[in-house]
Amino acid sequence: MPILITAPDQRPDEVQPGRPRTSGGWSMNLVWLSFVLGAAIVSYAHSIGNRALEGQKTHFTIFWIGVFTFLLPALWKLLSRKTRDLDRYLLVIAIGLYSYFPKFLAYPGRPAFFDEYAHTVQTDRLFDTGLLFLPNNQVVIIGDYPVMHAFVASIRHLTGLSTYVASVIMIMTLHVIALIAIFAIAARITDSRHVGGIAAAFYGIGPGFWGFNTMFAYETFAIILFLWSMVALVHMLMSESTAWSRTGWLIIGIIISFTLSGTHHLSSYLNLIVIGAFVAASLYMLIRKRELPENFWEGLIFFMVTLAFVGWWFINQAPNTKDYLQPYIQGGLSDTFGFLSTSESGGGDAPAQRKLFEGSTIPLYEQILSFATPVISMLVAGLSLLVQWKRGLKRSTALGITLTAGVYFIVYPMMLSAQGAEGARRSWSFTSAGLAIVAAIGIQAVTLWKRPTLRVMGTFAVMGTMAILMIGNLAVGLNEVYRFSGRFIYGSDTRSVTNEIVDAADWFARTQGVDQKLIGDRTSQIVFHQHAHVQLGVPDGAYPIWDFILSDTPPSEYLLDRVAEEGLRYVVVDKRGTTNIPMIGFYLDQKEPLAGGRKAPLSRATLDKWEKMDYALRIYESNEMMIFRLDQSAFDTSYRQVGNIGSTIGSSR
Amino acid sequence: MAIITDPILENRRPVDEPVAGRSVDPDTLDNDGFFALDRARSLLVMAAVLTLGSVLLPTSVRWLTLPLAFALPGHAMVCAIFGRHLEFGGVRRAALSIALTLTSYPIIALSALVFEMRMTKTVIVVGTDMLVGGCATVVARRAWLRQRGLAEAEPVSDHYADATIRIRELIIPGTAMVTAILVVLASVVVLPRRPPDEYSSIALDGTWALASRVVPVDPGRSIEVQFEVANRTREVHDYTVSGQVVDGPSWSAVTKRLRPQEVWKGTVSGPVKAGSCRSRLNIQLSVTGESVRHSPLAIFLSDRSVEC
Repeated sequence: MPILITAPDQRPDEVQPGRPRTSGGWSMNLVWLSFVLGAAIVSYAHSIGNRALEGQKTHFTIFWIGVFTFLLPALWKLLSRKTRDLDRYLLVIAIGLYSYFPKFLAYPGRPAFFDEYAHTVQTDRLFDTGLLFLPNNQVVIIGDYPVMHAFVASIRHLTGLSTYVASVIMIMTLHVIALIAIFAIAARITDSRHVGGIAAAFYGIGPGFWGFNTMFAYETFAIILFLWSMVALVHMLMSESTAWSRTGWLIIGIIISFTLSGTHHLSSYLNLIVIGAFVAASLYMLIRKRELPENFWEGLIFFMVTLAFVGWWFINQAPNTKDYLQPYIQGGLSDTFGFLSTSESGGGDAPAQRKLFEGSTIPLYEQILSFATPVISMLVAGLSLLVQWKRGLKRSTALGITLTAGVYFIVYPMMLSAQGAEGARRSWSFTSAGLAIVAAIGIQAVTLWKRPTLRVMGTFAVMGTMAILMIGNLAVGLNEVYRFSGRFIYGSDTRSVTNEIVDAADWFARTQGVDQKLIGDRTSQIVFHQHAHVQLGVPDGAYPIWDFILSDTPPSEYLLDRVAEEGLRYVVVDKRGTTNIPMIGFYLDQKEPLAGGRKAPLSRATLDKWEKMDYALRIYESNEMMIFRLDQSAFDTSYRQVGNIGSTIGSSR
Repeated sequence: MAIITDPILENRRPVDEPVAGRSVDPDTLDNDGFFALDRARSLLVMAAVLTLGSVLLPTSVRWLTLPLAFALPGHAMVCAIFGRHLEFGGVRRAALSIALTLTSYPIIALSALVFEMRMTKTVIVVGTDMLVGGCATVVARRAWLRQRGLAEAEPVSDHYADATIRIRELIIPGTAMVTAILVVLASVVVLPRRPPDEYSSIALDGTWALASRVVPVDPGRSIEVQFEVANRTREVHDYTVSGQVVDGPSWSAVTKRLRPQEVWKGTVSGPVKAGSCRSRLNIQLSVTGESVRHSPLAIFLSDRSVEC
């Protein structure tokens, strides 16, 4: 039987002659006006949110008004078949920029999230020392993945910008080119820039895009490489078998995949999974004799080379990755399977099921819409599969994208597990690329209905659906504390950093110097890490330095001996720990005693004990902060006495 | 065959493809090679601009190199790898250039690591120049071979053409984007926000801030200990700092009125107990009109003449 070969790529919307319009018209000008107006309203919402009292929710409403002031007109134009291609591109670029505004407005001028502090320090240290793979005690794993830090440090070298400014510009750029990547994939697979624009918009309202992926963190960077790796793969598979561009795309895909291996662990594994899905799709099409064998074999080469990179990096450069990921993966999977099996068997020893939105302060409508999001996404995906099935699934790339979109739904049950939810949320940023493209195919069909009335109603329905998805996706991804700055909340990462802590850290850096070894509560640690480049003590059961903060009594002799051995010299104490339970459930570390289960704040004795510790010099004091310097020569322990290690304690005064 | 075709768009030509006024015949350009040579030259010029800008420009204006820093290495790689055989131009090509730039600096840094070199500014600048120079060489060689008929010219991709976007078409969108960014930036300064927390602080200052253990002093002499007090409130307060050796003599007390945000560097002085091996000196801050009770700074002093 002859092999059925698909026709050479015809790009009817690109090669046919025609006279393009040279202006977007007044309606486009209105859209651009709405872009500025919307930015102003979102800015105002953040100003209100920043000053909001507990329980006030006006800023949510104003925020959504601001978001949709631009987003709905932009969606209208992207859904329209009459919009010029240039305007489609410009709208996609604008959505990319717009999606970063809220994060910037919430925390202007500084890092906000826990990971951002760690990555900022890592970049600063790389810039100062020129050393890749520097250890980082705040987020241990990032020392093994230096690619993003190397990029930002290079930009700093070339432009003279600070790490913060360079990171802001980088993230805005990344957001734009992420959407262009989705556009490129969708336009290539479907031969339609109309679909490309819709897919980019769908990804632009997707989970994580306005929240998690606005962080200065390696995942934000890695997702872009992941998407452009997909661009390379799709274009390679869809090029003519003899075209030079096919080889070109393979080279580019390999370069990007190599870089991705050194950027972020999970992203590189997901990249591998997606390439594998495309190769499987190629094999299926080859067996069905609908594609040339080159697609399968070259896809397989891409997969094998990427696998080699990922494996090499995992084994040689990032040996800590397995230990780092294992608890999350094991915990998430076992919890999820636990729920599923016990719900089927009617109860039993089920793991503690995560209560969605427990204690959440987001408005009720956001919570309701977030529950509607998976259902609506499934319906849209179902509609799209119907459209694809009707038109015929003729290319492996379309099948590969559909498989990628399928993973988006598979991980939904993991949202019920405390550890699994994090993994599920993170995976959506990747798999929603597949969902966006699949969904766009179905959505475009609505906008092509012949009867104008139906078409307009359908377009409005699509806009409403996408608005619901936008609200639901953001609500699922981030709680209020991460979305809006505002009143102080102890132990919340974003809202627990005060000018008082920052000033203390600046004083510390000015008088004590950098690279000092220090321990403190979580917020103090991240601030001192960034501002004073301290080396953080890493506690565990055998080295319980959390006792300096949590214990009512002075540390044990054993701990003092370990502290002296480790060279830990400073302790930062936030007095508010005696009046507040940290929002994240622990003071220093997730492994500390009573982490996640504390019912009362620390006792006053945790502060008073310092008066009994004659080896602790109090060198800084403010309303809420204290800094102690530990005089190791004064550690009067049995070990040090026997070892005749100098001590001044116990001598006559 | 395409999975889906858009019947409406089929007869329309996208705007980022050649249009009248600057339309080009790709085949002509592909065959004469001048285009490729020009591109090689332009790559070298841009590399020179980036190098000189990043080395010679003062820090305050070095950000002007930002567009080149974000796109040049990737643009050079796209030119070298694809030539004129990329399926798309314009916005997607620019985005691909930026995506490849993301990979270029880390690869330069990792390559330097292989040779046990640190990722310094010199390494990045020289590495970028080598990368762009290498890509320019590939581009130029390809053109040179074609000029001499030594290489069979592959047909240019049907889909490729120089992006032709009229600047005037970008005026309104560009203005809107810049204005929106300015609105966002200005709002941070102009719109009201929660004021910073108010507090007062005291810290050891000067060499006393570096005290790491018992400080030996002469018992017969008055010792001066430096401190720094900061008023981070929005009101004027009177600040009093006093010293007290535990079980020993009292030290001087000093008072000063501080305006909001004012910092006071001062000293307290007094003697230390003769024969002491470890006397605790408390330095207490009192603030009038503030309800917060500050704990004293604590350092330890000893009589220099005593063998402890």
